[in-house]
Amino acid sequence: MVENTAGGLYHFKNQHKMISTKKGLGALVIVTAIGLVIACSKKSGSGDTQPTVNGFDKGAMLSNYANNLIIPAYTGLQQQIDALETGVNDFLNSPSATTQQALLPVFKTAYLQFEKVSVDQFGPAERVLFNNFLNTFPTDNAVIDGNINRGTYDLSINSAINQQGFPALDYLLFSANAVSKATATNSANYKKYVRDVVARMKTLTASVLNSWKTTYRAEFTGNTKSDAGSPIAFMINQFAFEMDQMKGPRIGWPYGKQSGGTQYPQNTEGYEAGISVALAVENLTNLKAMFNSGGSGKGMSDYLIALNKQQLSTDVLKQFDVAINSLKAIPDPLSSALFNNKTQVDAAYREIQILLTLIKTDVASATGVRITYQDTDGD
Amino acid sequence: MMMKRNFLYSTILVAGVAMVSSCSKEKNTTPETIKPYTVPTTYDFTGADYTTSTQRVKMGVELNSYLGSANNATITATKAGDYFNNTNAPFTDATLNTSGITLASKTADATVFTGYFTEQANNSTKNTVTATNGSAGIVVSGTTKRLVSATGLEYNQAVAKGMMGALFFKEAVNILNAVPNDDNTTVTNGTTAMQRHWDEAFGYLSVPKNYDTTKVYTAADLDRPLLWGGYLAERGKGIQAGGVIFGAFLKGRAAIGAKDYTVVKEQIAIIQDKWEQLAAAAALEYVTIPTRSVNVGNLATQFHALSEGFGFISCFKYRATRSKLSAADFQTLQSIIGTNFYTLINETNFTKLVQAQTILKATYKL
Repeated sequence: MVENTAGGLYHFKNQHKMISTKKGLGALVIVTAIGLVIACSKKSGSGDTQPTVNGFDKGAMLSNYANNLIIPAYTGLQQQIDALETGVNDFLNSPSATTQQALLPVFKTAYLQFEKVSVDQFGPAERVLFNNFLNTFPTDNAVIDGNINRGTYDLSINSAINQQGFPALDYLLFSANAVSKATATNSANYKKYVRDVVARMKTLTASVLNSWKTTYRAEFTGNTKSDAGSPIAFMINQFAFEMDQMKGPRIGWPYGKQSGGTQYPQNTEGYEAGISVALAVENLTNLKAMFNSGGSGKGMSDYLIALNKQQLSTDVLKQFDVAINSLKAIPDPLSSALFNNKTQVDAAYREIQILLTLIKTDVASATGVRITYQDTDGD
Repeated sequence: MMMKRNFLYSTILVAGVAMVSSCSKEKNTTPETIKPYTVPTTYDFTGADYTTSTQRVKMGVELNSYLGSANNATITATKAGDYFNNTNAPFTDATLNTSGITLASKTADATVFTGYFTEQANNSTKNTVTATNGSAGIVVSGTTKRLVSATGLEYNQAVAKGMMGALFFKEAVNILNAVPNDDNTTVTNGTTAMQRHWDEAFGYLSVPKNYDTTKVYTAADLDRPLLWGGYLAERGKGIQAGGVIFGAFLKGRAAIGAKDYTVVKEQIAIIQDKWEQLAAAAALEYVTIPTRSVNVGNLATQFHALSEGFGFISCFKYRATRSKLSAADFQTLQSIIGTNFYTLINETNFTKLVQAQTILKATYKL
């Protein structure tokens, strides 16, 4: 991909040379072209129309994201789900409190790895509704139980998003009666359902990873614009979306922020395994790593600097640290902390909100990206 | 250099005269040359009057509001019919009650819409139960309630967006089709028949006469874009619908005054094409919203979008003959949006909705 970008640059230089040799007309064309560029950049934020801005190579940034962050994250998830499958089979083959306890860290590791791809819900992931199928919580446990009892279900239909994925495994493997379900005389349906859920997670992960490795990588790295549907717009939108998820479903809603203080501890992410805070910390830590591309100098934070938004870039990175630390101050399980550690939850919620605004408003504006995931329909 | 330029200009002049004279043969007594005229930036033409169009738009808005109240109240098809036929003084705006005009008289496929009134009235008796596939009721997203049919359709949206097609768009298209053959000589009350018809078509766009594409209109603006006018900004920004259509109405009306029929015809084509593309842009968005991962599982948002899409796709029935949409593709779009919405949103990979997206994108360059 690096070769491609260089090729593009070379081509651009060449064109410029050709134009400038045709003196009079050339000058006119150039003036017009410059006029156009200025007009465009004014309209849609800074640096939108050029692959480089103040020497910062947007194509190289995108290549770095694809090659060093996104594809490795999916590859890691694939490996972790394979390990999870092994762990799940160990538990299902000899279910007991002991094997269940042995499965817990395996499940947690895989779920934590999912948090590293959560922000990549665009392109191949969007096409297969990856996050919806792997991490819709809370689950509909009554429907899951019904599926198991009947032994008939279709996990591929979109209405089944809350019957599968990590949240379904959380319920199936770690709820109070999980061991007894797995040891009951009629446990065959239960075991089959668990295995079907894992199998579907494997299939979807393989499909997304494969798309990234084959077709989508070039599509992603080759488009350096910031208009709706461009990779940069996707990423900024997803940064904001993940922050909205943190403020809402991960922390705020269970805490009662949308329900006048009535809490829903059972709606937390990873409720049965009791790992909600760990998941939230991992999610936000990864979001920061994505924002500054692990400090490689080829991230959105660096792009902001190239756009002369040094202060904003610094502020966002600082606020990431503040918010991550405020989350870390909450003890797991979050379901208990919602009642027992309100000071820490309130503080974290506040810092998350500040970070959300910085990203959704200031970063979006600085990069000329429109936040499009919220339905703006007025009627 | 001078010689060349003169030659070039005279060629353009000759061409211009030739075009004008060919027009004048077709229709009307046209002067030998078209006097220079200016195109204003607001629709402030002498004698311009499109009251009946504006009144129909206002009637439509009140009808929609009544049908929408079914979310929280029981409504009747009879009362909806009163709005449609302007009987029993239904309108809050009393001038509409005495206007002597109706929605019904200009609405194509009127029985389809009165059928929708009945459906919505029936559904309104279910506004306290949760909708399920096969049974009407309410779907909720946050604080937003949507009353949907047994197949997920909000009939008030089918009416609102459907009548934007069957009444307002259809009238504008047909009136503009007829404009080139209108009388532009006899002046009655300050305007010719051609000018009055042009104004009537413009009225169905329902924008203020000083429409400003950069302004964000709110409910606080008494004179604000309504129905299609609102959609110029809501779904038409990406295709510059507001500037293009409003600009073409201004230019065409000025050209009529100068009897510059070539320009008039050009503006008719621009308006019809862009207006139809606007319907397509709206339809595209509404068959796309339900497929976005953020909306999956949110029936209220998905069904609302599909209901709007249902209405906007029905607009294509009244498209101009020049339309780029083939009969076969229109049929496919209708068949897709006519499918049970529960089926559409549950389909793996959204095959049908993606097919609709593909047709709209390809046909209308969206």
